[in-house]
Amino acid sequence: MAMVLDKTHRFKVIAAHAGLIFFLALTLFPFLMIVSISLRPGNFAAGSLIPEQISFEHWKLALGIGYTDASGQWVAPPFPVLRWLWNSIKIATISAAVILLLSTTCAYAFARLRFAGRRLGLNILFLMQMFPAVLSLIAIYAVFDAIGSYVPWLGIDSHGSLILAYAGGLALHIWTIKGYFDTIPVEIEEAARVDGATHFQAFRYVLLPMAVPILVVVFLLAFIGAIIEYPVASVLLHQEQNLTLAVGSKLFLYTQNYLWGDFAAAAILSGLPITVVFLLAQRYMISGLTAGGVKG
Amino acid sequence: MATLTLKQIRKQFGEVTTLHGIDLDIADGEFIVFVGPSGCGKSTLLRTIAGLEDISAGELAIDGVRVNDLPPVKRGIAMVFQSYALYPHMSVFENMAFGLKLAGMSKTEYTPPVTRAARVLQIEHLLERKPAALSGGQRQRVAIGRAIVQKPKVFLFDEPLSNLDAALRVQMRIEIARLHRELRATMIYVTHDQVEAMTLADRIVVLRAGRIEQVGTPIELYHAPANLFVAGFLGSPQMNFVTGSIVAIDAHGVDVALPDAQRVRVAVDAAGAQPGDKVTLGVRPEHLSLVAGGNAIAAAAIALEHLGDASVLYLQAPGTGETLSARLPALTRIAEGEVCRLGFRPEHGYLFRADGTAFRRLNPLA
Ligand SMILES: Nc1ncnc2c1ncn2[C@@H]1O[C@H](COP(=O)(O)OP(=O)(O)OP(=O)(O)O)[C@@H](O)[C@H]1O
Ligand SMILES: [Mg+2]
Repeated sequence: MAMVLDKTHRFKVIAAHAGLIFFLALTLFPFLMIVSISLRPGNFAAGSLIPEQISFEHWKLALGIGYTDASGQWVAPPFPVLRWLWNSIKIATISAAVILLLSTTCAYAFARLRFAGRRLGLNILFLMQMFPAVLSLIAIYAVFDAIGSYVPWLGIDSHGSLILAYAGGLALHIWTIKGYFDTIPVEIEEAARVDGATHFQAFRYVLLPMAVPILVVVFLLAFIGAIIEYPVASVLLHQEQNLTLAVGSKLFLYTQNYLWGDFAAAAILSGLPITVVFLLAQRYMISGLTAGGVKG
Repeated sequence: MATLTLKQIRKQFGEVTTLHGIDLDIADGEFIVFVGPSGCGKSTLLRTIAGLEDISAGELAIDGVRVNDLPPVKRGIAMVFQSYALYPHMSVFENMAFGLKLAGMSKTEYTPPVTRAARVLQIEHLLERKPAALSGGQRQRVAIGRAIVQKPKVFLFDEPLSNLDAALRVQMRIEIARLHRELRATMIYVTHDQVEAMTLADRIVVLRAGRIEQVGTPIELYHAPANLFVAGFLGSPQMNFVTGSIVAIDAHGVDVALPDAQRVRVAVDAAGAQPGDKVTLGVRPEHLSLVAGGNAIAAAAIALEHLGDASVLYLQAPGTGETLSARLPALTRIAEGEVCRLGFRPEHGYLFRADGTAFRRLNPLA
């Protein structure tokens, strides 16, 4: 702390702080706006950031309670928002778990096993990922329509179909995890093999525990991706009961009547599971797990 | 506890052949050291013995049983890696117990051997720590401990001490020697360090480019190297080589003419050689001394280094551009460019044929 500082240092610190505060405000503003809209009576997008009057009518609707409006009329919740939230959480959790399972094992094969077509396979995976899923919406619809006539629980308008569709998008995750595996010295697993571990045991007891931080990141990314995904979900899910929150909350915005307040409350709700999962995941994202194994 | 037999072991990586038919018999309880220049295949040979690389051709037998197709544990080997290769997420105790756990032992079964190994290696107080919280020397002890608890028939070490500083290396070297005496296990040890090779080995295996150049006790290799390569590889500073040709042969040695017509005498058995044959003269730096007359090489000094206990003089070899070195008493004073006469006894000289093989020395231990 007794370091000698240049005169310009003070100025730089102040400038840096000012810049940071500015960007923080820039990113926080939309969020605060949404919060404000959801607490304002009526459905208006415009208005001051701090509402003059606080009303929980939108939240009551979102949470499925209902309320009595100014004219004394009972307003029932128009949509099963909590049900949508539950659908979103269920689909995101299962698809993220499936993605994690598949991409970890694939990444292990690509990183550690030597087989013909390894390079080619990796590159094809990468190329496939370049095409946005939107481009294949029609194909996805047709495929699941066909599957549905044999396996109903994987057909159109089933959660199974959406989970399967999401689980297909794991190329990028395979690359991420493989990149991390590549940084872990092979000798550590060889030591495990000498200790008597099979390939699977070396993977399970030695490699996986060291890879926990990256696995958490991949789970998080997959989870967030599934929660906020709109195009594929909107094509595959139809019945109101089955929608995810991302698709369902769009119903608040009909062409004649944009229910901004109700929409805002639903949007904040959809951020809730992401926040919770992130907070849970954070403590596993520690660095330095692989330190000390080998001489650097 | 085990004998090893290597018969024509070959190893290929795709098109590249790394080991060209290695034949070696290792006796029970022997300490074998592999040395050789970087890339000669020491690690590859060790890894094929361990079972981490498959054997392309040939046969490997441990205690007379062919083990080519057995995984590492089933061969009864344990290996200590150069990079330690500890499990960073496990404590020292778990690191050492991992293999025993995999073998299906319960905690009450594997705790005693682990604590015993920790006591032998003096790391008992570290058992709860993670590898990241250990020093290099402590990590290497854990790696050795992990090998010990497996009770292997054969220990394999791949340059285990090369990451340690000089003082610690000496200490660990002594501990490994003690370990070998106590466990009486067969040990195979790869190193770059000549002192480690000379002090630890029962027999040294000198490898070059995937082939064995010579196998022998440290004394044998030092005093009776089979060829130029082995002679140049062992000894520090390196043995001096000067090319020349034979001028006379008698029962007690050979007279050799150096390129600038100087003559020196070497006590070797030159049976089969003719006067006029091209040869290479070899003299170790520690056998050279400054003399007025007698059997000596005259050469111009280039530089002088004071090592404290001795001085090393570098000279321009007569007739060729090569550098000679001589280990002289401490505080020797010689000016640069001064021509010195470096004497040696004929029985201290080595002589090599044009194809690099050595003539038999008449009195190697003199
Ligand atoms: N997996 C591999 N694929 C291809 N070539 C390899 C492989 N492993 C080793 N080699 C080659 O085999 C040769 C011997 O390598 P090795 O690691 O056994 O050398 P070394 O004697 O242990 O060297 P060092 O003293 O530097 O450790 C080298 O030329 C190396 O390039
Ligand atoms: Mg090596």
